[in-house]
Amino acid sequence: MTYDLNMSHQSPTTKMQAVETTTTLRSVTSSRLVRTLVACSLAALVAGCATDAPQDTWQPKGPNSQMINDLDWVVFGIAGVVGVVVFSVLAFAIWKYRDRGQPIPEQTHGKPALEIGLTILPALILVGIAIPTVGTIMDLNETADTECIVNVTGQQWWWEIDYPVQDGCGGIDEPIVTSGQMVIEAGTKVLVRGTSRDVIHSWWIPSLNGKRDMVPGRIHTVRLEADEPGIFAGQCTEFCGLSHANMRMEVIAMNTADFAVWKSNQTQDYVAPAVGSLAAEGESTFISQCSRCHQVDGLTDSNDELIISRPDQNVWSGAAPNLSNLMTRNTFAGASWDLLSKQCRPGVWDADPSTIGAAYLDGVTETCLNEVELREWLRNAPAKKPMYADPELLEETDGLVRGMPYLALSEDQIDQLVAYLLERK
Amino acid sequence: MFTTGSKLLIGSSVFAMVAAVVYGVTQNEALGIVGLVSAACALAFLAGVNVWAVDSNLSAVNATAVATSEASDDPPGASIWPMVFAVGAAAVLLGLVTQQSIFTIGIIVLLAAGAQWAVQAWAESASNDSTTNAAVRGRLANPLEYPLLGAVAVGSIAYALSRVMLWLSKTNTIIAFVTLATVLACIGFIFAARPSVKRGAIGGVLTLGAVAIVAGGVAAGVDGERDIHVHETIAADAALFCDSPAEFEIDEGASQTVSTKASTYTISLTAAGNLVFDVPGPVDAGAEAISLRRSNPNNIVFRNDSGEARRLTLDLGPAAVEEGVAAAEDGHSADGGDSADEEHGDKSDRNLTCTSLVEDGGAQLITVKFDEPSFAYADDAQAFRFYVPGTDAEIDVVVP
Repeated sequence: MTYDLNMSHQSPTTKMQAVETTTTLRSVTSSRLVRTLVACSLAALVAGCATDAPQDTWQPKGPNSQMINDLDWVVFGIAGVVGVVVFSVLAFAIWKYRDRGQPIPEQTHGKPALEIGLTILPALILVGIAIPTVGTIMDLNETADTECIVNVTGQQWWWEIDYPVQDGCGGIDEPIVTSGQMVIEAGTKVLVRGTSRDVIHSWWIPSLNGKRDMVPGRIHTVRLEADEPGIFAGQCTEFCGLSHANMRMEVIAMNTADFAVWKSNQTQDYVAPAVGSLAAEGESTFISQCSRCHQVDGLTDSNDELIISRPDQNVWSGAAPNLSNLMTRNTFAGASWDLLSKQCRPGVWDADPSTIGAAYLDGVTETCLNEVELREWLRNAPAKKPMYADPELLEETDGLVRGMPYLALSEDQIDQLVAYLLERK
Repeated sequence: MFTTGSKLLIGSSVFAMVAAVVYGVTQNEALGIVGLVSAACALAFLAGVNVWAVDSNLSAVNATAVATSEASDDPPGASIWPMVFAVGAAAVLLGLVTQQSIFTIGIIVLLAAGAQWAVQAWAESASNDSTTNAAVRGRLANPLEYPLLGAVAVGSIAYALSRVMLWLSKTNTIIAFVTLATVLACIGFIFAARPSVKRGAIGGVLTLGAVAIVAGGVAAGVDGERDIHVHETIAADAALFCDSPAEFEIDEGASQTVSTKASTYTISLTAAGNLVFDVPGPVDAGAEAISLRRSNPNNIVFRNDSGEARRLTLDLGPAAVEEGVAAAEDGHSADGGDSADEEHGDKSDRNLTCTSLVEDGGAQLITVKFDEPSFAYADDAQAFRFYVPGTDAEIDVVVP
């Protein structure tokens, strides 16, 4: 089909109408474009005023993020002045020397003084920015004054957090392993030693410090310190596969006494469910279905032998979350979902600094359990969180799963597991 | 006359077939071969249709040329290509029942001979003038022939040289190739200094040299390679090597294998004979046990400042017993004649890994991975510990 774009065969009246129509259309289109741009700009502006923004980089809650924030203001201040000057000069030149039909002025070439000046000036500005920037980077990389070591290990798509034996952190006599939520003592300089088991991940708690890539085979460090007790959200910031967006984490800062209680809770001996209870049936189900990958410290088999999980034989990354104290945490599945119900969550997350530690230590009770989503997860984990559930995609990993596979659990088994997990405190 | 479209289709078909052969030889995977051969067949079919329907109708392509030219009516001349084609076909059949390499060579010969035969036949019918026909043939075939023949010649010489290199001893290899390079440089210098030397002489000398190299390569290939010693590795018998303070062949140049990356842990053997470790952060550095992660490659640099050559060994617990496997083989005796398996034979039931023997002041990287936590071996006092054979230095490992 051919469209006749030539209006030469049309009458003058028709041509005039066509021109008017085109002008009107352009005007409408231009107007819509302007309105859209203004609306987008306003939306972006208003977004900056959000109060419920746990990952806001402009709300530092510790000295390390405060250092970054202070540097930001210096850099943005200098960049702002430069931007205003450049755009003002540009706008003035465009307006002053706009085309009004005047003859083209005499063209000259070369202004050595101006060119040298415009080279030296930006160099001086960059030096001015570099001095505080380098100083801040060096301060943020300082490890000598840290008081507590926490190891984090990234894998698709959750963070393992372990506390090695040390005199720091108020003293840790046996290793503590948890996942998704890192508990620290407020006011303590924590050194995070991070790495990855599979692909590159990035650890970022915006309120407490900047990002740090976690690279397989390397140990990267990042400092964390919270001014006061609170929950500080973060997220993996290096694309790491299908569920990258679901790889979250939190840092929970609490006072010294609460932190001591938390450490003690994490190293309690295993308490088996009461004989004949639903949780006891859940223990059997856990052993048969879950213990291949998930470790529960102290869990024994019928021969009273310790059950040692072997995630390296089942999971591509070689690890699965330790569930010994699952219900002392607030989240599960890579901190993507709450273990606390919507009714109970604000009691912890919105608690003031003086009570948040105690509220967190209460853990997840039967009445506060987010049973719906935990059941959904147990019923079909890949349906809830994309994890390469297609068996054909497992060929390249020799059959090893990424994330938690579909286990085809019956509803009875799910009931049993929920009852069993609820006792993992 | 082939039109541009026909040339494109023929070339694409040949390319797809060559790609199928290369893919088949390198990947040995059916799906890709089927796809490429199918593409080649489809392209060949289209080329045939194009040649038959368009190219043969010369009057449609260039009516003036047809009207004014004197087409050749001579019978086809003698050609060697049918014979080569037959050899290729025989090789294909032979290769089908014997070796894949013969089949591959047969396919290549078949394609090359078929192409040459077709081009020659086509060129001979272009006109009654044999000179013109030769020029027409050259214009079509030479851009393909010259690079291919050049590649074959260079490849043959390089392969022949490699055979000679592998046939000579290490020392003679160096002497031979220094001599060869010198001779080549001298010949080049003479040719450059005397431009009046005839091209025939240059060609003759180069041809002689190439023939000599290829002949040498054939002779060396027939005689076989020299004995190339395969170095021992720790993985071959970790129980023997790792628990010995003695030097083995695998320990040669240990520090040269260091690929010390940033951000790793360090374990040092001090002059006082103690093992100490250094990790980022002050809190747990120097503690009695080093904490390492499970299911994760832990990179550790072993630094030896003890004054003697030492290795760092990691005990990972009891080894899985394999029936019929000897604990330690003879023949790995250390310097001085003491057999390490005699001295440390009781360790052969342990799962060990270690560095090579590191000289004083040297360092080497070791990567260790723990599949199980240390509490899985709570009853085994030796499991999950680094130690230095021949000393009392050791340090426990905690794997949560």
